[in-house]
Amino acid sequence: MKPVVLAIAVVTAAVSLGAQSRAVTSDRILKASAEPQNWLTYSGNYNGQRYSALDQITPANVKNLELQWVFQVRTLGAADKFEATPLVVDGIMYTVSPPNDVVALDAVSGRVFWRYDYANAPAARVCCGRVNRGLAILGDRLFMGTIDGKVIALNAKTGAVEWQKQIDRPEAGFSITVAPLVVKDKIILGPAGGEYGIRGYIMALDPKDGNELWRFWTIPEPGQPGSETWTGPAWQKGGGPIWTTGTYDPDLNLMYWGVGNPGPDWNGDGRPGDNLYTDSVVALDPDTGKLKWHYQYTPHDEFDYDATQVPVLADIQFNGQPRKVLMQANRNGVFYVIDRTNGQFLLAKPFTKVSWVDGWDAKGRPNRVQNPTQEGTLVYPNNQGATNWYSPSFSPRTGLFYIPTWADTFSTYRKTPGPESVRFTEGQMYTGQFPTMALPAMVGGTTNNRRPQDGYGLIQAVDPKTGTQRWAFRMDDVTDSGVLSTASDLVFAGGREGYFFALDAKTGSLLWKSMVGGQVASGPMTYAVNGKQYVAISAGNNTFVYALRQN
Amino acid sequence: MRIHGTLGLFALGVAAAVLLAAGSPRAQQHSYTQQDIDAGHALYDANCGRCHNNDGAGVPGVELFKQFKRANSDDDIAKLIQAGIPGTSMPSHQFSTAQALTVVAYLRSMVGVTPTTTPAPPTGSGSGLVGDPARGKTVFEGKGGCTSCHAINGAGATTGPDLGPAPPRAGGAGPGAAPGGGRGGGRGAPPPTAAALERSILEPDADVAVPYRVFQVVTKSGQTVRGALLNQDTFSIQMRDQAGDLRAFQKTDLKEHGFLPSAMPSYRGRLAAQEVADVVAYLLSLRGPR
Repeated sequence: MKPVVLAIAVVTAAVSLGAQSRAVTSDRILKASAEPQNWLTYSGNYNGQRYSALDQITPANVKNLELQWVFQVRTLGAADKFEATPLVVDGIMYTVSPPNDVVALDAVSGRVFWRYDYANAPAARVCCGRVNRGLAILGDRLFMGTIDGKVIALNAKTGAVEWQKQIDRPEAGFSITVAPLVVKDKIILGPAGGEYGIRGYIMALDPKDGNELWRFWTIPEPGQPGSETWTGPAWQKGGGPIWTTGTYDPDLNLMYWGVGNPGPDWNGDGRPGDNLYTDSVVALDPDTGKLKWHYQYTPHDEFDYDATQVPVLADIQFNGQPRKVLMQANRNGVFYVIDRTNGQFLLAKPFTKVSWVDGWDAKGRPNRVQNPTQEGTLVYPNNQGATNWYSPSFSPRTGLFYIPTWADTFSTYRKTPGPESVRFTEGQMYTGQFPTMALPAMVGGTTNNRRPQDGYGLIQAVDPKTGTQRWAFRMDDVTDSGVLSTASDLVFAGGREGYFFALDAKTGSLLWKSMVGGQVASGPMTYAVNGKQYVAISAGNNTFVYALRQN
Repeated sequence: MRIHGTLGLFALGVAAAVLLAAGSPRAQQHSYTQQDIDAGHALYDANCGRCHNNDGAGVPGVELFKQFKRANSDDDIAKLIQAGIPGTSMPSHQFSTAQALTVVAYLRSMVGVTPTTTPAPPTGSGSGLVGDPARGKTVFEGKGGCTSCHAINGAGATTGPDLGPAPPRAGGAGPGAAPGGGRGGGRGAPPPTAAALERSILEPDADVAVPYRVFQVVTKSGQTVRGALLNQDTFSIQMRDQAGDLRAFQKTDLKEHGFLPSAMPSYRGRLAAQEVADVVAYLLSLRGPR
């Protein structure tokens, strides 16, 4: 019961503050769990659990949720998605909608304090629609990456630009879609562009002026550790993009980032070797960018299985021992548990139908049994993956890991053998042949008349001790929704069908639903103002905010 | 061996496809070679497929294999591909004009064609028997009784798909579909590899073209409704019944719902393996030499 008491005490404290924002110090971010009325980073706090101590909304009263307000953004392009998780600081919500529009809202009423619209350069190239996953805040400054390769710092009180920095060249396919992560006095992020033959990196910027403080290349150059996993000049266009926010363990002083696919995506003949650190999680010292350890989920990937999913941190009992673990539900269809102190492999278990691997050795190296072929190879899961950038959640109360899942999907991968079939031209996609998919990859269709065997969606709960499924809530369509869990044992999520719903975190029973009329393609989050708990979800062209009906 | 499999074979029907285009064939300014189409196909796969999908319909409201909404002439489409569409999710592309025109060539070649979006799981290379087209024609029209449901190029029954090689106009309707059919209609022909054809004969239920899928609901009050599934979600169903009326159901009101099995019987045990190979050879021969 202790967390409940804590939450109420903190919410009460917020009453006296009202909607008056204070500067967000790095110490506040470090202790974000102590102020659950706020949402200070992309995942809510450093551990990436997307678990909130707020408990005013319960399984018993969730049926009384009603819409409080809607914020409508500019009409999105057909392949664009509203993927950002908002930040909430002392009653003020900051969010970013495609392509790079930022707004500060009264979190109680939805009314606008200020708005900043950024016009991207025409050279901006994105593989998969114009998206942005959110902002970071430090002090009175908001930080946003842009799809034309910039980072822009805005004054949180006025929306004025304080500095902007061109990080990399949009005409070469570099874009920034990730929500930056603030660690101590640094802004951490990296570029997307794994379909354009980029060489990826994770970098630290000075929040004062945007100057680069360190850079970790996700593709090592010849002579560096890991370069032995590349052949010839392939590393120069080796991919390894960064597009989902990492996590941080302050006790170990280590950050964890998931790295994206190698390039070209679907033909690895020109890059013999494991291709580190693509499709890996890397543990970095945030002060220096130095690599402490890594684990590669999909060596020599030819299925586009980016490992960018949020690496979720928790301290759990594993095989009877207390362990500091990192858990990841990977795009490749497998749920992993890793010791985050040293990278030791603890568990790998498929969470849906998976055909590319039939086992792992003691060190966690997968035994891959499929590759693209000239005739075509049918592979489960499909190219979009069994899950993707949509955040999972871990509840320390239930001990369950909640995964938004594309279930039983498949792609046929074809390639013309030999590296010469994939030519590189700067600014053009550098991928090989797009695999077949039975489902639309980027945006859900207007209608769904597919058969169950073409794939479906799940919100499923997995026991991280064993990797076994505890429950699953099944949807006819797949889901691009993140998951939120709360201290009152609720799970919030949605899907492409346009429903936003609450499930019982212990059983998966549907407790409440609301039709929002557009694809849910963002992570739900919760906050409180003046003692009242709110739940927010972005879907279609709007952000919807719910709270309990008064009386 | 063609590298692009199913799509590549369809592309051979380019001349016929352009003539039958649902859009405006007059808008095509240039003539294209098969090399142009293949080059455009490769560029499309690498640069366009992730959003627009293999069937050209991946972006809601955009059906590249049916019609162009923002441009009509080849040169305008090529310019649009190069420049992108400002203010939308369509980015600019670093293509030369010649490259962009090959993409147009590929798109033109696909007009009226709906490639299968649900690839059948491969079942190996089939029986491996060499079929005889002439014997296959005899089986098709005689012992197999295939003509009681299937036509060849419009000549014959319409219960099942026309198995002739010409791409039909988009939106071909089957008996379960009532007018309009499913999204984008269907190719109306089985997948054109020997193994896939063999599979269609032996396991006809494994993959049914969208317009021929019959959806059935049975209400708790005992009413049975059949027709074309238009939309569904976790809680509800929207369909067009066999009388052509729009119908909606809450799943909580239903005893059961789902697609009916294919109306076509399996020929496993009804035809000898050699006879199946002969029918496959006959159907492939209708498409001309590969």
